[in-house]
Amino acid sequence: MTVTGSRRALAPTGLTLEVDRIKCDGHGLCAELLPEMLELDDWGYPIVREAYVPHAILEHARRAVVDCPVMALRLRAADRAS
Amino acid sequence: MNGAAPAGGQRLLAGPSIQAGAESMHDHRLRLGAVPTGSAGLIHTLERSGLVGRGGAAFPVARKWAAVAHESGGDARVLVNGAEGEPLSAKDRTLMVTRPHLILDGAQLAAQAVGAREIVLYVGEAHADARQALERALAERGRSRISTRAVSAPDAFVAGEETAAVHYINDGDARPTTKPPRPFERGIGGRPTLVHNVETLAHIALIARFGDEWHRSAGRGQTRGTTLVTLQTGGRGVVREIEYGTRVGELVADQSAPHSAAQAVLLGGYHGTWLRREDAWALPLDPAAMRAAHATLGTGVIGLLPLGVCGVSSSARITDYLAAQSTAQCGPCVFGLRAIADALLRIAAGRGAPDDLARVQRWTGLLAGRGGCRHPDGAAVMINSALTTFADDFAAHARRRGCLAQRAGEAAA
Repeated sequence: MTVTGSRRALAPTGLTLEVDRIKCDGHGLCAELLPEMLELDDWGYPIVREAYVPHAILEHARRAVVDCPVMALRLRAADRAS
Repeated sequence: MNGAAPAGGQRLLAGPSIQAGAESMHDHRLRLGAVPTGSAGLIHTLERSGLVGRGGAAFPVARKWAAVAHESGGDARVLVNGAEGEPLSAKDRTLMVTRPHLILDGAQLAAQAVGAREIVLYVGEAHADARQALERALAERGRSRISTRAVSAPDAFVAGEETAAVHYINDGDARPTTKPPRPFERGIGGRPTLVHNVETLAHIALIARFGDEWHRSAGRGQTRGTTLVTLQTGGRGVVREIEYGTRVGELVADQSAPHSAAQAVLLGGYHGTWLRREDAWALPLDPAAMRAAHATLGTGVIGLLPLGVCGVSSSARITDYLAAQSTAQCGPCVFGLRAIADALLRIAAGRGAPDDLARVQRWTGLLAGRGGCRHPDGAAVMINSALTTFADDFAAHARRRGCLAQRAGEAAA
């Protein structure tokens, strides 16, 4: 990977990953796909360690959003996140 | 036309004794004058007044109005929140029972100013006398262009959370919903909804009559005006109106019963903060000053823990109650808060496992920001403050060395 490529990989996408806590049933797929951002608590519910999505794992993040069985994940523009 | 502005530190509770029950519309108007018409300009008066909400979050009222007015299209709703699910608080029901017209004036002003077509009075079902007082007051006022109805709020801690209230009024389900949308965007009947605690509306009724400068003339610190508090001295709650900035010790000393034996204070109710007596006594009851001390005025509860009563057991019981009051929607609240409560109950009973205290600390650190509402966050605030305030007691209980508070109580007796 070139230096510029690596920089781009770590650069933020301006997106954050959000968990809808009411929808989430603790299936845990998201933590498998995104260990860089998420881990699971003692009961299998995600802990968001890093909400800002870097370019390097944007595709994984998109997949986690699509693959969540209860559609509890979404990507949001960081400036809109509350 | 205008009555006289209440002078001094008694504003909402100026007028007849609170033992006398509801003030009639006739007496209310004679004392304070007719309610003015709520105009869009009132929002600027509220902004200058610095009025903040009295439901627990101390959010600036003018900002809420601006948000709803922006979305309203002349067809918003006003939700008058008198659920008062906090077990230690009695200030909202006291106000509903004694000053229903102040609350209804405030709701009417808000509805006119933000462009609302309906007002919903959401009153805790446990507060039957409060609902009755509001409905009687409503009947006294006669017909209005803004329709008003009353809905009984379930007797549950979280039922007054704003999305839970909207959810219950819309669908009969008092569980919080995912935000966004927030009620100002989509609330009762899908319409933008202004949600205010009953006390907040009563302050609005006075500010609309007497102005922001008058409002700001009370208060000793950064936050201006007066506020209602419930002082809990063990078994009985006393409701008082105080100027913001009054110190905890002063408030306690002003009451007749002896409280010098308090060892700790729970400020802000079950989502609030425990402080040792020596740290609490000089603390000004002012949301701004309290934030700096990592405390909160929350719902205005000042709960005294007498000497000889175990802070570990008290905070374990409160956590157990909060876990039971979870609306069971989010894993961290359902499983995490329950596990914390069970571990705390074991520790309190001297039956804790060796790592229970460490697990409580770890689990509590994982509550905040992991629920659909702020119930787990509030519980975490209370639990963390208990772990700090009663650190020696927790250590003694966890090592099964008995209860320090019990020994102190016996020594004092």
